[in-house]
Amino acid sequence: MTRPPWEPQAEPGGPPGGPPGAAAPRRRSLALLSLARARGLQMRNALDQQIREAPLRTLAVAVLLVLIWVALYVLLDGVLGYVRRLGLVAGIANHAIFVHFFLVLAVMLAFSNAILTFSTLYGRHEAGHLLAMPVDPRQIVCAKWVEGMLLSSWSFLLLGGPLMLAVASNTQVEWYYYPLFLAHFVAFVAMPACAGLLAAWAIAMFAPRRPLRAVGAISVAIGLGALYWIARASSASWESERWVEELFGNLRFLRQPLMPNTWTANGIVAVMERDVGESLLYLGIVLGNAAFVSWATINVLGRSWPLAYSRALQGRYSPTIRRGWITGACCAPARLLLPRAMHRLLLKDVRHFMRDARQWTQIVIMFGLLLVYVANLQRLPLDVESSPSKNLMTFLNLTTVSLILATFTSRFVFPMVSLESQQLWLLELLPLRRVTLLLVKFFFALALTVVSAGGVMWLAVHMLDLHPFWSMVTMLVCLSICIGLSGLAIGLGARFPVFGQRNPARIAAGFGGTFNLIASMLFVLVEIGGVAILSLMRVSSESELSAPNNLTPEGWLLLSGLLGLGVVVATGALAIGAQHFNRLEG
Amino acid sequence: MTRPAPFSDDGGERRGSPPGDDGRIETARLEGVTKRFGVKVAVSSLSLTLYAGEVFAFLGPNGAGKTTTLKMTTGLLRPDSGHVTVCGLSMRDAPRQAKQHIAYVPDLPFLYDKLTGREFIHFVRDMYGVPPALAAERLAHLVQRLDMAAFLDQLTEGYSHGMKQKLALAAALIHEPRLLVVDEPLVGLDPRSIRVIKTIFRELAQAGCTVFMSTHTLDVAEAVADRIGILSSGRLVALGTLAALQSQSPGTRLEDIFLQLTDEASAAPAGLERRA
Ligand SMILES: Nc1ncnc2c1ncn2[C@@H]1O[C@H](COP(=O)(O)OP(=O)(O)OP(=O)(O)O)[C@@H](O)[C@H]1O
Ligand SMILES: [Mg+2]
Repeated sequence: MTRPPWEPQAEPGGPPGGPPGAAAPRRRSLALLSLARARGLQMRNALDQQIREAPLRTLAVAVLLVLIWVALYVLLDGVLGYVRRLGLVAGIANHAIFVHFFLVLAVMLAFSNAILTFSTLYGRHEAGHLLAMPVDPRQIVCAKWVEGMLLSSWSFLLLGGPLMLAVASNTQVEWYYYPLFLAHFVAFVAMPACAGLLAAWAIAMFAPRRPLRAVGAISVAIGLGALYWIARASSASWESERWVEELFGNLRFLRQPLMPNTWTANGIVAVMERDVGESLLYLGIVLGNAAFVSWATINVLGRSWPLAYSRALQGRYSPTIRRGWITGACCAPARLLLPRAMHRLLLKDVRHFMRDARQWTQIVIMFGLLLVYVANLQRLPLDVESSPSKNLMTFLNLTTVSLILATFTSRFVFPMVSLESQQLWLLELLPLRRVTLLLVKFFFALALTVVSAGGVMWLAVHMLDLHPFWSMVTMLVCLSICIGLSGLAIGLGARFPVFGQRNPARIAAGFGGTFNLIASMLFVLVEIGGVAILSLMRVSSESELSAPNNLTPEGWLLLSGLLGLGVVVATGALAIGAQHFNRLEG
Repeated sequence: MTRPAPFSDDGGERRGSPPGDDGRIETARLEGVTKRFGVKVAVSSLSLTLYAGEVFAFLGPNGAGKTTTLKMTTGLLRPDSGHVTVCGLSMRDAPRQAKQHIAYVPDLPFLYDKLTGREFIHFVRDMYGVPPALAAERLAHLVQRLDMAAFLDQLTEGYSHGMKQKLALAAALIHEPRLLVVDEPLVGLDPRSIRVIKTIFRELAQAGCTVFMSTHTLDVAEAVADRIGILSSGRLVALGTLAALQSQSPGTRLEDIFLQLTDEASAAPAGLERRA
């Protein structure tokens, strides 16, 4: 045997430990770079694998992504065009749109960053691995911050890009509009990323034992605040002479001078109005604040990350004894409808879902925000009394809700089958047909989507005081969308299962998940397109003073087609999935 | 709760015959370390000193607190009270400098799915600041010893459990730690790999490194460990060389000693804990 190559460089008989940092290498300051390089390698390898193993699929995904992108552009273009035609002062309307857009974007980015960093910085595996190394924690926090921002840049590619172009096609802009829009967007992303880091840190630090409870308490607080705001707002009178006054009061609220989303909106509106100086000024303000906030966040978090990690680690497992009577009660009605085995499976799924915070908090928060928005519908500067306006609003609501629902089914429902396949050996031994398994998951997903999306749509329809007949049509289409999306997610989840991956986010981000997302989006777009045609038919028939609350024969045909499509899509996807799933070996 | 552990480190030293002379170098020292998880006391005022050039095996029933102790030694968990020192550096005051001397292989090692084994090792090398040429030399040797050549350039997501273990061990040795902390290193390895790893541990010890491992395989502990510590319900109930343990207990095999000690210990403190 040769000399072992790991003989310590420092002579074995040296003083214990030597002076601190004696073995400190010259290259330690490059930890950030090493992390970045490793991340880059991972992405390159993943892409390489995708292209090598499934070139056609990758191409299909790329093509469909472009399609979605174009569809979003068309949608935004239509909305902006509509707003322009309403004849409101363009500047104010645009400003309001941007303020809202960046506010929603900030919430989404902060939220996704919080979830991302919570799992990387305080999660079970990677964090411990990184923390065991002699690296300045600030560099790791910084790397994660950059990573979060890069992921956020997808939001630009997907949302910001279409918005930028849609604005450009509705306003006369100069060439410098494009680089400045991009710069504003990029500068804006840093602060929500910091907010996300801080939120994850706060939860690890102060509520490690009950992250759920903390998130729940915060959501309830936000919800109560929103309710209070709504209550105050709706108590105001809406008489016509005060309407304009109220409107401007409302817009003044939106123009909070201390909110970064307002700065960015101001900067973008300025460049639309060809005021480069002002735009640059706002860009500078955002950048300056972003730099300060980032510096402070990284330093504060870097210093206390190891402590927060230790606290998160020790709080991960809470010795609560669960008897499961709440979930049992929730599933009790299903006992009457489903055979015993299916009921037990359903109960297991429901428990799994309710006990995993990551599974449901996102849904609750997103749909909570939607509820707040819907409850505010009447405050929008639109003439909600007129029928076409109501029509348009309902249509936009349905679009938003279904697109969000599509992302949710892709993110949460799609991985369910893959996660279950890890226990295939267990299920294999049960006297069950595998199709039963898929059906149970389908019903579970359907119940979830109907409660969340259906609830929001019902409230929206209610707030707009839509005619009962049209309410029914909208709700039926919504139901059809829920059926189709749940069926797609479960069916495709069974067709493209991911094995050996326990992280649902990763499963959803794989090929099958992306494919499902795209298929879901397309399905939603078809349904929405159908509704748009229905609405147009209605508008034209109304102008002829025929009964507005019925449909022409073609209308009925289209409606039944839309309703049937959901069922057909779901059945088809489930059948394909079941076929593949049956052949799997545990 | 704060009563002294039934078996303290010093007692063990006096009874056991230490592997080296009295001027031995300390690599890690745990002083009265306690860790609670809520009301559960996972590790209770544990004191332990590890010396350069020894393989220390940590035994104990499931849930005894072995993993928790190892994590506190590496600085991943902070003790509620007590103090951890590695190579004379306090884990609380100079964690980064201390970590430069440690390598940690957890029971379920973390690897990045989409990196190849080689890329992963390069990543670890850079994070510890090992010069590439030196690392390449060490890696070549480790690859040959651990028989990793066949899969080193594949993505780690396709590795079997044993391959992952080997890679994690190789990555841990790339910066020549003075203290190697391994949690159940031999679970799921084939007989040849077990033999190789046992040899590597012995060689590391000979080269002046300390191996701090937890294991459930008593044979391995018997074969490679210079000293053995038995943990039960967070308390050290035995500590010393195998010979010392055998001489003070009626049983002759380590298995008997283990069963007897952990049985005795779990009867009393478990009752106490329930009341606490
Ligand atoms: N993150 C945690 N949160 C709460 N309690 C924990 C946590 N980790 C460990 N414990 C508890 O601490 C005790 C000791 O756990 P530890 O993992 O150290 O045991 P172990 O000796 O490594 O067991 P095993 O041989 O099964 O690996 C156990 O009772 C366990 O329930
Ligand atoms: Mg353990």
